Amino acid sequence: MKGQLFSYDLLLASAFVIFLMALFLLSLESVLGGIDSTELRGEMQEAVQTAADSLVRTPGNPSNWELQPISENGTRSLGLVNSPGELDPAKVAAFFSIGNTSAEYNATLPILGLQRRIYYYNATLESLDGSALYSLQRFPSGSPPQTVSVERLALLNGTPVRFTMVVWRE
Amino acid sequence: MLVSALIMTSALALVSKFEAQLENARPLEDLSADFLAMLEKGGTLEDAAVSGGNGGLIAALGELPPSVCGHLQLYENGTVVMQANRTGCACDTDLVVMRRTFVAREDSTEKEMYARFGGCYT
Repeated sequence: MKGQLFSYDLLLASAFVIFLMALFLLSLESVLGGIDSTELRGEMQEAVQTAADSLVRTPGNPSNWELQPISENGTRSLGLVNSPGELDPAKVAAFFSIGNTSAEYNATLPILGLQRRIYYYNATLESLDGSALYSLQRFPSGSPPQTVSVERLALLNGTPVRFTMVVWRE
Repeated sequence: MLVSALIMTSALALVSKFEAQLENARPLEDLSADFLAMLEKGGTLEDAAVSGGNGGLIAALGELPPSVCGHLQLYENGTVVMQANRTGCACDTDLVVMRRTFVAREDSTEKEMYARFGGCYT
Protein backbone atom coordinates (compact mmCIF):
# COMPACT_ATOMS: atom_id res chain seq x y z
CA MET A 1 0.00 0.00 0.00
CA LYS A 2 2.78 2.43 1.02
CA GLY A 3 4.72 1.53 -2.07
CA GLN A 4 1.73 2.29 -4.26
CA LEU A 5 1.00 5.70 -2.69
CA PHE A 6 4.44 7.10 -3.41
CA SER A 7 4.78 5.51 -6.75
CA TYR A 8 6.67 6.99 -9.64
CA ASP A 9 3.37 7.39 -11.54
CA LEU A 10 1.85 9.50 -8.80
CA LEU A 11 4.90 11.79 -8.67
CA LEU A 12 4.82 12.20 -12.42
CA ALA A 13 1.11 12.95 -12.42
CA SER A 14 1.51 15.49 -9.60
CA ALA A 15 4.35 17.25 -11.42
CA PHE A 16 2.25 17.42 -14.55
CA VAL A 17 -0.74 18.86 -12.70
CA ILE A 18 1.51 21.45 -11.01
CA PHE A 19 2.97 22.35 -14.38
CA LEU A 20 -0.51 22.81 -15.84
CA MET A 21 -1.58 24.95 -12.91
CA ALA A 22 1.52 27.13 -13.29
CA LEU A 23 0.78 27.50 -17.00
CA PHE A 24 -2.81 28.42 -16.18
CA LEU A 25 -1.74 31.05 -13.64
CA LEU A 26 0.79 32.54 -16.05
CA SER A 27 -1.83 32.79 -18.79
CA LEU A 28 -4.26 34.33 -16.34
CA GLU A 29 -1.69 36.94 -15.36
CA SER A 30 -1.09 37.79 -18.99
CA VAL A 31 -4.82 38.19 -19.66
CA LEU A 32 -5.32 40.35 -16.57
CA GLY A 33 -2.31 42.46 -17.55
CA GLY A 34 -3.85 42.99 -20.99
CA ILE A 35 -7.17 44.03 -19.47
CA ASP A 36 -5.42 46.49 -17.13
CA SER A 37 -3.48 47.97 -20.02
CA THR A 38 -6.62 48.39 -22.14
CA GLU A 39 -8.48 49.95 -19.23
CA LEU A 40 -5.66 52.40 -18.55
CA ARG A 41 -5.53 53.35 -22.21
CA GLY A 42 -9.27 53.95 -22.22
CA GLU A 43 -9.04 56.14 -19.15
CA MET A 44 -6.20 58.15 -20.66
CA GLN A 45 -8.13 58.53 -23.91
CA GLU A 46 -11.15 59.80 -22.02
CA ALA A 47 -8.99 62.19 -19.99
CA VAL A 48 -7.20 63.71 -22.97
CA GLN A 49 -10.45 64.10 -24.95
CA THR A 50 -12.17 65.83 -22.05
CA ALA A 51 -9.19 68.14 -21.50
CA ALA A 52 -8.91 69.00 -25.20
CA ASP A 53 -12.68 69.53 -25.40
CA SER A 54 -12.53 72.01 -22.55
CA LEU A 55 -9.67 73.87 -24.22
CA VAL A 56 -10.97 74.15 -27.78
CA ARG A 57 -14.69 74.44 -27.11
CA THR A 58 -15.09 76.57 -24.00
CA PRO A 59 -13.96 80.01 -22.90
CA GLY A 60 -12.99 78.76 -19.44
CA ASN A 61 -14.31 79.90 -16.12
CA PRO A 62 -13.96 82.71 -15.26
CA SER A 63 -14.11 83.73 -18.90
CA ASN A 64 -11.20 86.12 -18.37
CA TRP A 65 -9.00 83.57 -16.57
CA GLU A 66 -6.03 84.60 -18.70
CA LEU A 67 -5.72 87.87 -16.77
CA GLN A 68 -4.63 86.07 -13.59
CA PRO A 69 -2.05 83.35 -12.94
CA ILE A 70 -3.66 79.91 -13.21
CA SER A 71 -4.45 78.47 -9.79
CA GLU A 72 -6.62 75.66 -8.49
CA ASN A 73 -8.62 78.08 -6.37
CA GLY A 74 -9.00 80.93 -8.84
CA THR A 75 -9.41 79.09 -12.16
CA ARG A 76 -12.41 76.80 -12.28
CA SER A 77 -11.92 75.65 -15.86
CA LEU A 78 -9.60 76.38 -18.74
CA GLY A 79 -10.69 77.19 -22.27
CA LEU A 80 -9.00 78.86 -25.19
CA VAL A 81 -11.96 80.10 -27.23
CA ASN A 82 -14.46 82.88 -27.09
CA SER A 83 -16.78 81.28 -29.60
CA PRO A 84 -16.58 77.54 -30.30
CA GLY A 85 -13.90 76.75 -32.83
CA GLU A 86 -12.31 80.21 -32.79
CA LEU A 87 -9.31 80.48 -30.51
CA ASP A 88 -8.77 83.64 -28.52
CA PRO A 89 -5.17 84.81 -29.13
CA ALA A 90 -4.83 86.22 -25.59
CA LYS A 91 -5.96 82.95 -23.99
CA VAL A 92 -3.74 80.91 -26.27
CA ALA A 93 -0.73 83.07 -25.38
CA ALA A 94 -1.54 82.82 -21.66
CA PHE A 95 -1.98 79.05 -21.74
CA PHE A 96 1.19 78.34 -23.67
CA SER A 97 3.26 80.73 -21.55
CA ILE A 98 2.99 78.60 -18.41
CA GLY A 99 6.20 76.73 -17.70
CA ASN A 100 6.23 72.98 -18.07
CA THR A 101 7.36 72.44 -14.48
CA SER A 102 5.79 75.46 -12.88
CA ALA A 103 3.16 75.67 -10.17
CA GLU A 104 0.83 76.89 -12.91
CA TYR A 105 1.40 73.70 -14.93
CA ASN A 106 0.67 71.58 -11.87
CA ALA A 107 -2.44 73.65 -11.21
CA THR A 108 -3.72 72.90 -14.72
CA LEU A 109 -3.72 69.13 -14.05
CA PRO A 110 -6.79 69.03 -11.76
CA ILE A 111 -8.46 71.86 -13.69
CA LEU A 112 -8.20 69.86 -16.92
CA GLY A 113 -9.27 66.66 -15.16
CA LEU A 114 -5.87 65.00 -15.50
CA GLN A 115 -5.31 64.30 -11.84
CA ARG A 116 -7.16 61.03 -11.40
CA ARG A 117 -4.01 59.01 -11.88
CA ILE A 118 -1.74 62.03 -12.26
CA TYR A 119 -1.34 62.26 -15.99
CA TYR A 120 1.05 64.74 -17.50
CA TYR A 121 0.62 66.40 -20.84
CA ASN A 122 2.22 68.49 -23.49
CA ALA A 123 0.42 70.55 -26.07
CA THR A 124 1.26 72.17 -29.38
CA LEU A 125 -0.53 74.52 -31.69
CA GLU A 126 0.61 74.51 -35.27
CA SER A 127 -0.59 75.74 -38.60
CA LEU A 128 -1.85 73.08 -40.98
CA ASP A 129 1.42 73.14 -42.93
CA GLY A 130 3.11 71.89 -39.77
CA SER A 131 4.89 75.04 -38.60
CA ALA A 132 4.69 75.35 -34.82
CA LEU A 133 2.99 78.43 -33.44
CA TYR A 134 2.95 77.63 -29.74
CA SER A 135 4.09 74.71 -27.68
CA LEU A 136 3.98 73.65 -24.08
CA GLN A 137 6.74 71.10 -24.05
CA ARG A 138 7.12 68.60 -21.28
CA PHE A 139 8.52 65.20 -22.01
CA PRO A 140 7.97 61.95 -20.15
CA SER A 141 10.76 61.03 -17.76
CA GLY A 142 11.92 57.64 -18.94
CA SER A 143 9.67 55.79 -21.32
CA PRO A 144 6.05 55.66 -20.21
CA PRO A 145 4.28 52.44 -21.16
CA GLN A 146 1.51 54.31 -22.94
CA THR A 147 0.93 57.75 -24.33
CA VAL A 148 -2.35 58.92 -25.80
CA SER A 149 -2.79 61.92 -28.05
CA VAL A 150 -5.66 63.85 -29.49
CA GLU A 151 -5.79 66.26 -32.39
CA ARG A 152 -8.29 69.09 -32.76
CA LEU A 153 -8.84 71.73 -35.39
CA ALA A 154 -9.74 75.36 -34.84
CA LEU A 155 -9.21 78.85 -36.18
CA LEU A 156 -6.69 81.32 -34.81
CA ASN A 157 -7.03 84.83 -36.21
CA GLY A 158 -9.04 83.35 -39.10
CA THR A 159 -6.37 80.79 -39.96
CA PRO A 160 -6.90 77.03 -39.52
CA VAL A 161 -4.66 75.54 -36.86
CA ARG A 162 -4.11 72.11 -35.37
CA PHE A 163 -4.10 71.64 -31.60
CA THR A 164 -2.38 68.48 -30.39
CA MET A 165 -2.32 67.24 -26.83
CA VAL A 166 -0.37 64.21 -25.59
CA VAL A 167 -1.03 62.61 -22.22
CA TRP A 168 0.98 60.02 -20.33
CA ARG A 169 1.38 58.67 -16.82
CA GLU A 170 4.71 58.78 -15.01
CA MET B 1 -9.51 17.33 -14.81
CA LEU B 2 -6.55 17.10 -17.13
CA VAL B 3 -8.65 17.81 -20.19
CA SER B 4 -10.46 20.77 -18.60
CA ALA B 5 -7.15 22.24 -17.39
CA LEU B 6 -5.76 21.95 -20.90
CA ILE B 7 -8.83 23.56 -22.42
CA MET B 8 -8.76 26.46 -19.95
CA THR B 9 -5.06 27.05 -20.44
CA SER B 10 -5.43 27.02 -24.20
CA ALA B 11 -8.39 29.37 -24.02
CA LEU B 12 -6.50 31.82 -21.82
CA ALA B 13 -3.44 31.68 -24.06
CA LEU B 14 -5.67 32.43 -27.02
CA VAL B 15 -7.49 35.29 -25.28
CA SER B 16 -4.22 36.86 -24.15
CA LYS B 17 -3.19 37.27 -27.78
CA PHE B 18 -6.13 39.51 -28.54
CA GLU B 19 -6.00 43.24 -27.97
CA ALA B 20 -8.98 45.54 -27.94
CA GLN B 21 -9.30 46.59 -31.54
CA LEU B 22 -12.65 48.32 -31.29
CA GLU B 23 -12.62 51.60 -33.14
CA ASN B 24 -13.25 54.51 -30.83
CA ALA B 25 -15.44 56.92 -32.77
CA ARG B 26 -15.33 59.79 -30.30
CA PRO B 27 -11.97 61.30 -31.36
CA LEU B 28 -13.19 61.24 -34.97
CA GLU B 29 -16.54 62.75 -33.98
CA ASP B 30 -14.75 65.61 -32.19
CA LEU B 31 -12.40 66.14 -35.11
CA SER B 32 -15.28 66.09 -37.60
CA ALA B 33 -17.22 68.68 -35.61
CA ASP B 34 -14.07 70.86 -35.42
CA PHE B 35 -13.49 70.40 -39.14
CA LEU B 36 -16.98 71.53 -40.12
CA ALA B 37 -16.86 74.46 -37.67
CA MET B 38 -13.51 75.50 -39.10
CA LEU B 39 -14.81 75.34 -42.68
CA GLU B 40 -17.94 77.27 -41.79
CA LYS B 41 -16.29 79.98 -39.71
CA GLY B 42 -13.37 80.28 -42.11
CA GLY B 43 -15.78 80.83 -45.03
CA THR B 44 -14.67 77.76 -47.00
CA LEU B 45 -18.18 76.28 -47.16
CA GLU B 46 -19.70 79.55 -48.28
CA ASP B 47 -16.96 80.16 -50.85
CA ALA B 48 -17.52 76.69 -52.32
CA ALA B 49 -21.29 77.17 -52.45
CA VAL B 50 -21.02 80.58 -54.10
CA SER B 51 -18.24 79.75 -56.55
CA GLY B 52 -19.57 76.33 -57.44
CA GLY B 53 -16.06 74.83 -57.30
CA ASN B 54 -15.03 72.12 -54.87
CA GLY B 55 -11.28 72.84 -54.96
CA GLY B 56 -11.33 74.53 -51.55
CA LEU B 57 -13.16 71.60 -50.00
CA ILE B 58 -10.74 69.06 -51.48
CA ALA B 59 -7.79 71.12 -50.21
CA ALA B 60 -9.36 71.29 -46.75
CA LEU B 61 -9.97 67.53 -46.71
CA GLY B 62 -6.31 67.09 -47.55
CA GLU B 63 -5.39 68.87 -44.32
CA LEU B 64 -7.04 66.22 -42.16
CA PRO B 65 -4.68 63.90 -40.26
CA PRO B 66 -3.30 61.08 -42.44
CA SER B 67 -5.19 58.51 -40.35
CA VAL B 68 -8.53 60.06 -41.31
CA CYS B 69 -10.40 59.66 -44.56
CA GLY B 70 -13.52 61.62 -45.35
CA HIS B 71 -15.82 63.24 -47.85
CA LEU B 72 -18.00 66.32 -47.88
CA GLN B 73 -21.33 67.00 -49.45
CA LEU B 74 -23.10 70.33 -49.64
CA TYR B 75 -26.89 70.22 -49.59
CA GLU B 76 -29.40 72.79 -50.71
CA ASN B 77 -33.09 72.07 -50.20
CA GLY B 78 -32.22 68.48 -49.33
CA THR B 79 -30.35 67.89 -52.58
CA VAL B 80 -26.63 67.36 -52.97
CA VAL B 81 -25.22 70.27 -54.95
CA MET B 82 -21.54 69.57 -54.44
CA GLN B 83 -19.33 66.72 -53.38
CA ALA B 84 -15.66 66.47 -52.48
CA ASN B 85 -13.61 63.44 -51.46
CA ARG B 86 -10.25 63.24 -49.83
CA THR B 87 -7.77 62.27 -52.50
CA GLY B 88 -6.18 58.86 -52.17
CA CYS B 89 -8.60 57.12 -49.86
CA ALA B 90 -12.22 56.09 -49.53
CA CYS B 91 -14.43 54.98 -46.64
CA ASP B 92 -16.26 51.69 -47.15
CA THR B 93 -18.57 52.73 -44.34
CA ASP B 94 -18.66 56.08 -42.60
CA LEU B 95 -17.72 55.68 -38.95
CA VAL B 96 -19.05 59.15 -38.18
CA VAL B 97 -21.40 61.51 -39.95
CA MET B 98 -21.63 65.20 -38.98
CA ARG B 99 -23.75 67.97 -40.38
CA ARG B 100 -23.47 71.73 -40.08
CA THR B 101 -25.75 74.35 -41.48
CA PHE B 102 -24.43 77.53 -43.01
CA VAL B 103 -25.65 80.47 -45.00
CA ALA B 104 -24.25 81.24 -48.45
CA ARG B 105 -24.65 84.88 -49.44
CA GLU B 106 -24.38 85.90 -53.06
CA ASP B 107 -25.29 89.44 -54.13
CA SER B 108 -28.50 90.06 -52.25
CA THR B 109 -29.65 86.49 -51.93
CA GLU B 110 -29.07 84.14 -49.03
CA LYS B 111 -29.21 80.38 -49.30
CA GLU B 112 -29.54 78.20 -46.27
CA MET B 113 -27.47 75.09 -46.86
CA TYR B 114 -25.83 72.36 -44.89
CA ALA B 115 -22.61 70.43 -45.16
CA ARG B 116 -22.40 66.73 -44.42
CA PHE B 117 -19.08 65.19 -43.50
CA GLY B 118 -18.66 61.42 -43.48
CA GLY B 119 -15.40 60.05 -42.17
CA CYS B 120 -13.55 56.94 -41.12
CA TYR B 121 -10.09 55.85 -40.11
CA THR B 122 -7.81 54.69 -42.88
